[in-house]
Amino acid sequence: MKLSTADLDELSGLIDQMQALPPADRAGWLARLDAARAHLRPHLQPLLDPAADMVDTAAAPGALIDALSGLLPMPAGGDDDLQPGRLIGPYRLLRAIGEGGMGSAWLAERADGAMQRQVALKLPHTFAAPGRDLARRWVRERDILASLEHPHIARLYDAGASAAGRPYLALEYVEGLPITRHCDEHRLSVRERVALFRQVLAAVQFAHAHLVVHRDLKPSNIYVTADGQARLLDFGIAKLLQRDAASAAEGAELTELGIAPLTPDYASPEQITGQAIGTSSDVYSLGVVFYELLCGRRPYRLARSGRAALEQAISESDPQRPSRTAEAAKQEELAALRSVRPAGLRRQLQGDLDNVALKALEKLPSRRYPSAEAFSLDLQRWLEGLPVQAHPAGAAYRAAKFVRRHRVAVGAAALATLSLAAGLGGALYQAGLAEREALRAQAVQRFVTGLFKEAAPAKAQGRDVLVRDLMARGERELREAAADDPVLRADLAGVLAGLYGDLGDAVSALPLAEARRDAARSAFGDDSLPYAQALAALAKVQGQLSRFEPALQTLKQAQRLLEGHGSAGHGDFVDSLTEEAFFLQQTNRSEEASALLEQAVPLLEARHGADSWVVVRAQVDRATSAASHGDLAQAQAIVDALLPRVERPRPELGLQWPNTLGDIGYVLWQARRWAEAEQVLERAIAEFDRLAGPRNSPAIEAGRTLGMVQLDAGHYALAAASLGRNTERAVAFYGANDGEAALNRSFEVMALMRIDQPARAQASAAESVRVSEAVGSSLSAFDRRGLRRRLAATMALNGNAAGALALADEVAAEEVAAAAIDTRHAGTQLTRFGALRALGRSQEALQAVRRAAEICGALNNVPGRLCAARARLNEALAAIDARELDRVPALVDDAEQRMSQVHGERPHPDQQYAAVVRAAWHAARGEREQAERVLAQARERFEQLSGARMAQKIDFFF
Amino acid sequence: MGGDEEAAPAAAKSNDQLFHALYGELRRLARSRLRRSEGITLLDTTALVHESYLRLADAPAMGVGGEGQFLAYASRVMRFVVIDFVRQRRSERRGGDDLHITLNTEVAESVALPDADVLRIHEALEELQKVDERLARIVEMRCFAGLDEATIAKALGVTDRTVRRDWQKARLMLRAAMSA
Repeated sequence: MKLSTADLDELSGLIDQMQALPPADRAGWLARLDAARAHLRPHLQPLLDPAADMVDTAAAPGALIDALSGLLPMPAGGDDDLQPGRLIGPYRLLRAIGEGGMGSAWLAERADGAMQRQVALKLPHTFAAPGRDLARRWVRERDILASLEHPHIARLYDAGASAAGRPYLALEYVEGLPITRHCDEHRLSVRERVALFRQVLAAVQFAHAHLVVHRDLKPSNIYVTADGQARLLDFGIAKLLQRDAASAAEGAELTELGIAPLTPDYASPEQITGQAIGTSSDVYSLGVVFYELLCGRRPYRLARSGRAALEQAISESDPQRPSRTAEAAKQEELAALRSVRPAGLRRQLQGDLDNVALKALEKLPSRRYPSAEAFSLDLQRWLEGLPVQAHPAGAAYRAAKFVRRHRVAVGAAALATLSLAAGLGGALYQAGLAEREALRAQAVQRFVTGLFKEAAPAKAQGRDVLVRDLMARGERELREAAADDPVLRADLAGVLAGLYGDLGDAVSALPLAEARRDAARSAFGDDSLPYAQALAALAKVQGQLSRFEPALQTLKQAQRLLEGHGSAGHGDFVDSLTEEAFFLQQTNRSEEASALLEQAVPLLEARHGADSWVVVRAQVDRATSAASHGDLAQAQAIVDALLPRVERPRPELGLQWPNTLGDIGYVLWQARRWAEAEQVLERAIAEFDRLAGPRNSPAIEAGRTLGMVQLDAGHYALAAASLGRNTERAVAFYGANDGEAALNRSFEVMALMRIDQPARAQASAAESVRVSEAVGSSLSAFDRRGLRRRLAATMALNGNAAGALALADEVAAEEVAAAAIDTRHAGTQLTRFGALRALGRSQEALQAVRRAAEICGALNNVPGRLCAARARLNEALAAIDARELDRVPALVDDAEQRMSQVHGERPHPDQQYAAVVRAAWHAARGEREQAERVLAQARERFEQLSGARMAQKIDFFF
Repeated sequence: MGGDEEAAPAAAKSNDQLFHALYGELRRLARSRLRRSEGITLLDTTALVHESYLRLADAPAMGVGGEGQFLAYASRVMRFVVIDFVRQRRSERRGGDDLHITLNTEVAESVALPDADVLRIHEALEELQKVDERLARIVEMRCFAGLDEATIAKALGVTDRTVRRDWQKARLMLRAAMSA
């Protein structure tokens, strides 16, 4: 019955009264409640619980999940009401298919017919336990399962709660048999069993990679379908290690709830003795299952029965070799189930398979296979007839085992673990790695969130305290608090660097990424995985700062180390390929980048799934690569396929989404799809600003591309404004004396030169060169040449021919020395032409322009055609100077033809330069009126198209 | 159904300037915090609320006095931010499997409860508010802003013990309000 507001009011008063009573008096008081208010009694019942007064005092702040789930009411009654036909949420129960420690499982179907398939519906037992804990467990299990998508793990379809508040999980219903029965019923040979078991290992490896430990692996949780596909069921007691560490007290709660459905038959020694459980515990349980698959029995022969004896055996005695166990009483039958004769079975098991099984069953986690994958690889070797890695234990190991046995007997299990860990060092470290990482992650998270809390308003002294200020405080603490713990220091520095990176502030991220690298090296050594990962992260930050050459070197170093770590480093290695490709592209090695990405895409798909964002990213990178080495058809094909996938905002991806838009904008720019490019880039910039505030470097990158789009589209007024704004942003972000600010300023020059702003153009160009020379190496030689090339051009525009020539000569010589003979070098030659022409050195001027024409004429692409057109127009000016007037029309026609090839139906203001030359030609022929008319028309048309006035005096075309 | 919630937050009825400033700020903070970077996903509504205070503390015409009142107010706003995220997510999910699991969505992801439950709690809170305003505030401060008892006590100007008792009472009342 739903309570009315009046009821709630009444209840409020009753709670007050009852809370005021001493706990001992409450039951009597409640019993005496009058009939009119008896219906409120169940709602007051919880106050009888002596623990009720203390609830939740220790709950961690900020734990939204805990707090909210604690509020959910639990329905009355136990499981009695579960019966076929009953509706739970959208599901109708069909029949019970299982009972477990914490709940029951039902075959069910959607009642609303929305879905045909049948599901296994998991329902928690009763609600006697405090709702909050159970709800939390349920939430956790749901999250774990939802994150595990693997062909050999039963899928989670749905999770929720019925109207009555009963939580449920809808899982893939697996029709099949437990693996042991499947193998026997199909009389699978040992070989077939090994092959099938490797499916299980792959699934477990996958779960472990997601920090999920199953903790209850046994044949009844490993089903095999009729078509021979293994499926892992029931991550019922699996715990996400990350969360586990969050609440140390929780373990006790779980035991109290009786939710420890450990099956001792398959439990590991560390589970039996109540020690820390890691992934290696699952390896052990898999060892038991494997043992049973081989020889039909579990590893321990017990002298006496009972759980205690079994537990003792598991933690103390050595299991018999499977080949020996196979010589049991019913060996004929046992062998027949494996389609061999008893002698054959013994031969198959003896040696390698014995060793593999016993290695998985080692008492010490560090002696077992380090991972399910390693287990699987050894079996693969066996299948291929190669010697396995597992070998019988040696004397040293036996001694260690002896020590351990005695320590456990003393009963100081926890202490034993600690001292053992200290003694065994690295080996045991591996076993507890996931948990340690989880613990450290928690420490780091607490640390960072602590920063925010600690920033008391008083300390802020009326100033606007921003995240950045808090992080700066974090850095100080990093130096102090983590001074003597390099591992923690590496992690904290990594987190802070990552946060700065997310905020688009690579300048602040860099010293932290370097600190992480140094700390990782001193804590783990210079061939360690953490060091390799720290290097990869540093490379990324260097890349964000456009320091691509050092970034590539750092990344190469990381990759060499990652490769040395085999499968453990493989994931990071694969991911680093996209980073490497990006750097290659940024250093004008786009063909290498393309080749690398083509190779990386299938690896990334295998690692992350074909639909994953990482793959989207790699495809975008392929497109930008293809675009920058001129394969526009391929670039556009990739981008057109991607556009619908990036249409919807993806706030959960943070800066990655606008970054991707920015890259797509770049491709659209290269493809000369101006309007689309502008739109996409403007969206990207707005999203960068929304996420990271006005101070962020990616928006500057995208703003630069936007300006270039407008420049190439001939919208010079817009371009000048955009690039000018972008310069201001770059100065504000990097500082006026930074190389990046200088680079951005020099792009503004390109727009200013084309409109009637020669003085401003030169001032900007000079400033950019001044800064870049002062900061030296932070810009590449390529970029620095660009800055000086532009300055030379503006000097020529402003009539300083001698200065322009001297600078252009320098730049040209450097370009020749660097073998950078491209349209840019042609541009330098055109500036030389302008300067030489102004100085009256017409022969040299002609040489310069012919050199430019030669270079550009050989290029069959857009920049080549446009540059060749400009060269032709300059050549026409030279012809006018030389009074070879009859050569002029052909040159101008040629230039016009090249330009219209590029611009097609869309008129571009630069096309008016042809008319400017024509006017000069008319003037040279004495046709003044015509000259003026043509020139006036050209200026008017230029202004219409570009939004700004054409330069007053044009002596050459740059 | 559509993305209309974006334009009309659950509490749009409030014309309060502060509400809008806070709502925008918290939402922005939450979104930017909750991105899936390779590091840790920082999800801490407490930090968001504190941070919003630090950011807005100097804004003129805040209309509230002191940190305590601000925290109470911000908790309220945080509640609407969370609820709006959940509603928006529900509206985005059209047809087909009515899965309660969405692994990739913003703030609502942090609320590892079925959306329906979050909304039920929200509705029950509205009920509770009619009966006892302070209880509703305490639930908001605890659940949506994740503030601890001491902070809540300070903000409301009462003792820790009162907060503890009120919290216990609020839970009972909410469960009662949600009982079918």
